[in-house]
Amino acid sequence: MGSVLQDLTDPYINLAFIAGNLALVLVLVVVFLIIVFRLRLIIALRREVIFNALWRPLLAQSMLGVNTATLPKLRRYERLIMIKAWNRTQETVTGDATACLNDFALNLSLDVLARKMLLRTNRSEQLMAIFTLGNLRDKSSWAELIAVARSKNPVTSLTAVRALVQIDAASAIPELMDSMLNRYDWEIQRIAQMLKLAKPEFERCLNMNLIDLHGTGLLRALHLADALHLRLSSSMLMEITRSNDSVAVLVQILKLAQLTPDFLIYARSYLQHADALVRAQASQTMGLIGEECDIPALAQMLSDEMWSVRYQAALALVQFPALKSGGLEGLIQKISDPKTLQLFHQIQSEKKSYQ
Amino acid sequence: MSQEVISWITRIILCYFLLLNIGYITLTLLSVVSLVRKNQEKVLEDLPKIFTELELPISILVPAFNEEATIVASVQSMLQLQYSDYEIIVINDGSRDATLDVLIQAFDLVNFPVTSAGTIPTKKVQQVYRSTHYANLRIIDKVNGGKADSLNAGINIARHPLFCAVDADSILDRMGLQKLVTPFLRKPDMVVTGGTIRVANGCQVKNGYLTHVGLPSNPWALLQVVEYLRAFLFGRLGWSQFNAMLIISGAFGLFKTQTVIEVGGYKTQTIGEDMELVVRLHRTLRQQGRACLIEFVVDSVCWTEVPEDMTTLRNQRIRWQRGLCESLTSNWGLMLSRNGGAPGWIAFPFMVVFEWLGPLVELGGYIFMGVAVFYGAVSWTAFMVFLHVAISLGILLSVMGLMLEEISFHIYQKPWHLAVLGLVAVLENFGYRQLNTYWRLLGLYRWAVNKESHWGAMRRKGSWQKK
Repeated sequence: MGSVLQDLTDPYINLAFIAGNLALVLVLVVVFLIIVFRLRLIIALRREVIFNALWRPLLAQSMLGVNTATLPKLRRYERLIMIKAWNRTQETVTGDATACLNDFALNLSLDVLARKMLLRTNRSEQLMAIFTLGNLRDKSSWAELIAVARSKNPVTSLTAVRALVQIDAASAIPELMDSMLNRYDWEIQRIAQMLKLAKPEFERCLNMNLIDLHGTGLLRALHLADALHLRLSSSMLMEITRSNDSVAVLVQILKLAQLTPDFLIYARSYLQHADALVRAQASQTMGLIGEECDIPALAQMLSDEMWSVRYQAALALVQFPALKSGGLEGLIQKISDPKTLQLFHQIQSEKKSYQ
Repeated sequence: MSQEVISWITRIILCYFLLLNIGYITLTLLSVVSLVRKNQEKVLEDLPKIFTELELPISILVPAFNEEATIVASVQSMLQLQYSDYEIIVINDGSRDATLDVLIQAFDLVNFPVTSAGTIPTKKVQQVYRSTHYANLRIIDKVNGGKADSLNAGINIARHPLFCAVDADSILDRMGLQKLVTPFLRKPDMVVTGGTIRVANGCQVKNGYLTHVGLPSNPWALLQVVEYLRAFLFGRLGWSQFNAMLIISGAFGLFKTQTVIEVGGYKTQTIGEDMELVVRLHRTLRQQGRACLIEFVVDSVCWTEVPEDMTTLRNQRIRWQRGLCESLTSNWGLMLSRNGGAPGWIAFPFMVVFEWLGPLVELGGYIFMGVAVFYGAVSWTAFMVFLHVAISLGILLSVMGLMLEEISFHIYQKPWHLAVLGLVAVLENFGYRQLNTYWRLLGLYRWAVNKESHWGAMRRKGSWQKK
């Protein structure tokens, strides 16, 4: 049999040959890049060592309020390292040390540098700039930061929100409230983290606007209120339950009602709700704010068709203040259903493990 | 066979190799973009970690079968994770060694009466224990039913809205859970997230902490270091860019508990239960018109022991290939389906052509070319070009995996680590990858003839946890 594909004149073989050669060239390029990346890393680490030897003691002194007005000149390559180090330090201190560190940064004109970096396209530098301006409470950058906060990128925009809250929470929260509640690409956990710095401002703003919120925005607001342990007006919560039949919203309001005992009368009515999630949450809430007269209703929930409701009802009864002095044992003795009895044993065992 | 047919087969084989590698290179480029973006956001890691009660509570499920060598260290490591609210459920799947005894001794276990809310049928649960030392640790002792059955038993008593399936021999990065849960906080439709698996052989662990990252001295394990870099840093990360991931490693994946219960939990009659569940989630939720977001979190890391002998490695690869075959064939409805999206129209067909049938074409290609050259049907030039393109593209993919590691994580810090990995990236293309293809072909054959295979055949040494 004579061979068909003799040489590189066959277009397929030729194409494959070219592809193979190209791959080998790319291998060399990639190996070169790996070496470059490693060398860059080694150089960066060495520079950081030199920087730390000179500047770390000065940063530490500035935190303690030691006068650092005459500082050495910051070299070009040291600027970014300094911004990183300064922000890292600033994020871990509070009180007077914050103000002292700000003086140190202003002496080095880090504010000017940060404002320049804010306009750059490199995301890492832009984020550093936002951190710096936020930590410096730099009011002159307000408009630029608002523009970044309204930009599409979820990471830079949310970081800008944090900076704005640091600079002036009372102005930033009303301005950005709508985005905080409706931009789902902003992690709710990070919003809650930054709002911990401005709880009173957020609580005030929420109490003013909650009644006008709808859908996912309302739900997110309730989640944030729960995470921040905010006290929302019970009349407003009741009003929302009247106009909203979303299970998720009801569950969240019942959770918040644990901080609002005057919501008790409404919480009782949700023990009979059609959705098991609502019944389970209502049982949990009743366990915290219920009265002695609620015990029979909770005991009745032990025969609910859903395990989660039965579990929450049993848990509520075990935690119920009025049942602590022998009442619980009496109630358990009356139970004939072995599954319900085992549920109580489980909860008591769980309680032991958490003691 | 006519010469024309032979020449066409040769061309098809060459095109197949080219297309396969072009597909992988595309995934690599997508990963480069994602990693560069991620790198630029690293400054956020300097922010102080404040828990807000909005972190979703997580149940960590740890199925264990004959894991007495490593289970205590693994659980200790999990108990030290930085996360606000989580529980650990170890499922002893009828181990024949002292797995349960070492757990009872180490964590002072007592009986725990549990009324299960779960609805997924499993083999009989003999006893549930709780630790008197750690409130968030529970152990299920059950009749042997396999890994999937164990995970289902864990799901049945899991209390939290998310569960994380973790292998018993694994060590999680302390921040791993926090990173893995982030997509769930950003996107309400997120169903599954998965993290990177790295090779623990050669590393050192003390008191549940990974204290030193090193390279294994065992050549089989060393080859797998490069293989894992390639698989995770560009394979999964690339697919994740357009929500087309069909595999989340069973060693480290975070799932929405309720959604998994709705689709019936893990399938017990399959070996690749992790991939099967992910493909089924895509298929079922898409058929129902529901969103199914699955994301790979590249910087959430889990360290695991890989096989150090050829027999164990061979068996593992045969199981993986069988798992892949079962996952694809039992979810065929996703293939080019109306609501299939990127998983149904890109990832599934890619998996079928290049992963499922890949070993057949690849090994068949090598054999065909060898025979054709021997009989003079194909010239030496053509044969050499075939080897040239297959091996060069293979080396390119391996070194690209290494480059992704270098631009993003620098986990292997010593220059000689990099040199060794570079050498392995080249050498693995001369025999190891072909051997792997052969094992995958065996897996394909065993799936075709429906030959039984079991989990738990891996020989754990646990030496890296004792150093």
